Amino acid sequence: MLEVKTLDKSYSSSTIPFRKKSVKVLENISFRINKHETLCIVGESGCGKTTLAKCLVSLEKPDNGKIILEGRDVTFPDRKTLSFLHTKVQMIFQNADTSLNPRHLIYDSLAEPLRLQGQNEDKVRKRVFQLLTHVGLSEEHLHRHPHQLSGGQNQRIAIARAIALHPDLLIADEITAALDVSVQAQILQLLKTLKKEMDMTLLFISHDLTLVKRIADRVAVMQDGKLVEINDTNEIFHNPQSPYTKELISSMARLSLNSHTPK
Amino acid sequence: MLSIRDLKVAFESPQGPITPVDSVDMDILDKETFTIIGESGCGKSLLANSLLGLLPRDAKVCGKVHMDGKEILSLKEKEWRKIRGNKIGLVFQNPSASLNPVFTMHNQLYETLKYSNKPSSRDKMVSLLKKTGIKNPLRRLSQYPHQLSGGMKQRFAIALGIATDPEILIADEPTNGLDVTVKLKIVEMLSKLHAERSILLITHDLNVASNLSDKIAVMYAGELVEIAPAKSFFEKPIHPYSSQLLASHPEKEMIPIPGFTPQLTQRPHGCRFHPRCALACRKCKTEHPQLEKIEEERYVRCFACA
Repeated sequence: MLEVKTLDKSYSSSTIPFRKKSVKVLENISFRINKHETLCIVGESGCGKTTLAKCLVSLEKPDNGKIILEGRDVTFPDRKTLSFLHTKVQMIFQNADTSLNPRHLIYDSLAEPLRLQGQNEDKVRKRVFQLLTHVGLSEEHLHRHPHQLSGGQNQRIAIARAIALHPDLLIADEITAALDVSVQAQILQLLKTLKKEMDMTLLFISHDLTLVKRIADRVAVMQDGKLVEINDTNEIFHNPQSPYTKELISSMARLSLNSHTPK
Repeated sequence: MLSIRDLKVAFESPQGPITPVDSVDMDILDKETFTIIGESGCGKSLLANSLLGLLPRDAKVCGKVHMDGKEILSLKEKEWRKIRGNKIGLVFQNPSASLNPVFTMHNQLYETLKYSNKPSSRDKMVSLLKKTGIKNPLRRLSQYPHQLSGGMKQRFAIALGIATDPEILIADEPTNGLDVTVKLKIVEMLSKLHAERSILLITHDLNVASNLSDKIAVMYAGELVEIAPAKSFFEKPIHPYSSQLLASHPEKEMIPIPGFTPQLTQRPHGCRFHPRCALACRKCKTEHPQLEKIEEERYVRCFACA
């Protein structure tokens, strides 16, 4: 459904003081996301995972390459294409506590994407209530601000906002990195149900391999802005090809719950 | 070595008094790694800070903490200073924020050593950095925190913690926000350190806990609900919260715990976990369970399991 062809992106010197050269953050990235699958991107912090996700929703402009969504080029979208892109692809950000506007009521945060699509207030209202029950929260949460909710609850709101326009592809960028394991399990269960109910495709970005092993259909491994390996989950974990993937997997295994070793 | 009895930390809030840390009883033995696990907001860090007398002024602390037989909670500020660093060291959470951005590593290490009257020679510093696995220590000493990577800062924070050679090192979330490869290295480094001294490890990362600990204490809503030797804990957790917490881990079944952790002002009556517990009976709703010994070295706060 989405195809990325030879994507390059570098941040120029003006954003990084005292350095003349530009810094390459994405180098020759090509892959495709198939309909209904869960593709996970793993890699350590700073490897370009988030930049790649931002390019896909046009929050960053790539230097080179093409992004093709259902046959339509959305690399450098004009107004009309952008609207098309945003009804098809939505993104949930790393930290819900900071990605929700702190001065907006939860209701307004949820209503905003609907209003932007020109829906009337009655319809918006109905949909907001519907979304809220979808993500397991109740009406009492609507008239609060983000700081009055817990991290897990805020993440639910962020998910509700992302699915408000029935996207086909949902990009989830480290959405459980700041959460405890029990809340992480709640959020992932929610995501799984929603994906099934709404027939969505999921691009899940994470640095937690144990988690990825659990939920992914396919895994893409990134290192220093390059895609080093992409394969079915089973293959990646049982038959890793690149040295970097091997290192990641052996670190994961040595930290596993069963490898209790002290003294 | 360190024995804590009925430790409470309370605050006044607009909604009435709150007790983020409530009736904590535990003993840390010599050269033991004792880990407190629990979800954010359960009171772990506050408990750690109370052991160093580092609480905000409006905090009310009661209970007893004995270190080598001496009561330390009632100490005056001047006497606290002899304990902090020298007897009990601390590795703060999030070194990116806790290290001073305008001082070099050398300055920060020098300050720590000087105030505890330890030799502060360059050789001593270099050996400390080497011990925590920092390569090229001489160059690192002249650098500022922003010039180091996250893992390097964490190593330096640990070097600061052990600089004064404390008998107990409190490490508050030492692997938070690190990548798996870096995390593994920090865990390996800490496991070397624990042959020398007791460590009180505070974490919400079950993987780190299982790889470093001798003993595990599980904290829920300000209370310890289970204390157990690490090995038997991960094989067979007893308290319903412990077993559900483990089950929610991606390596296990990843079954979420229903509901939310209670807010400080709205803690349920009876057992604090009963609204989310599958085993809850009528007694759990009305009576508050105590931490009971059920096996050698195993304590559980639960009517259904005791």
